[in-house]
Amino acid sequence: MMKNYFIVIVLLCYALNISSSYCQNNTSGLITYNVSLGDDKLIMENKTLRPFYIQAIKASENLKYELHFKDGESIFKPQKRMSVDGENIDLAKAFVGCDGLIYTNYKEALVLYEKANSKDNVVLKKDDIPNWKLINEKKYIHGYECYKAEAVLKVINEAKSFNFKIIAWYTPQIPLPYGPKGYFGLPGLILELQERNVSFGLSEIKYGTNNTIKIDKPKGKVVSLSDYN
Amino acid sequence: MKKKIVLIIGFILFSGNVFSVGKSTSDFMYGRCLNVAIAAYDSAISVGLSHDQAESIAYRTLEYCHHTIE
Repeated sequence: MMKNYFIVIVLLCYALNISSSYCQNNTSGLITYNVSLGDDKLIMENKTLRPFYIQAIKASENLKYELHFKDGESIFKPQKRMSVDGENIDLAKAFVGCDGLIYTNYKEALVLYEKANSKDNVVLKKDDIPNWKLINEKKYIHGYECYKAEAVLKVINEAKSFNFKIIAWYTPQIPLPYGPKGYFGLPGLILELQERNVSFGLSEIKYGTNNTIKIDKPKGKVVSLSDYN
Repeated sequence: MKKKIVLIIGFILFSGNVFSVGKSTSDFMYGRCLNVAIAAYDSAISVGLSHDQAESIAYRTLEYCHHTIE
């Protein structure tokens, strides 16, 4: 009996050590996401936007984004590459809604967006932190067990206000709160995210003991996104 | 309205034609590009994109239009 208790205690200590090592050694890393622009009825039915959106869809097939994270901070940005065969990669990034850099500090619930051609070095601060609703649905992505979460994207512009659905698939097997395009706060890394017509899917994960990643907070005049809009 | 005025001025400055006066072909084409960009901005707003995203799309359509002229 005592021998069984002893074995259980030893196994528990071993498991806790593994978990602690995971947290210490895997707080930094790089996730690469593919992106795709899907069918959006409102955009496709707009005669002015339609031809540009079709160009952007084509260019997005070769577009990837990188999420660098370390110690509670992350940077999300398009992967550097040259346009090929006349593809309009910059237009694709504009339709994705991220042509620059998005910085997130999840402990401070701070999301800053530094646009590619920012006038007057303005950095936009996102005010809306998603109110996630955890859904009891499961699927596997690249071998990771993932669960679904939903939120609402509210857009208020000069025309009126709009609501769009956000769907995220996160994995508790990687207990880090990060995700693409400044989305964070789920009990696991977001491996897939759909925001209206834009979908991000996991391409590659690298995490571990590499602490040479440097996360720099964007410098510039911070303006609230709701004021800017 | 104020944002639209700022946007138009920004695009004019970007196009580099702020000091151009006259009815030359290139002025006409750059003017057309500006109209396309403004239409893209208005359309992006009407389909539910945010001001900052509509601005980026309009900027890129203007850039692309200038590139096709050159």
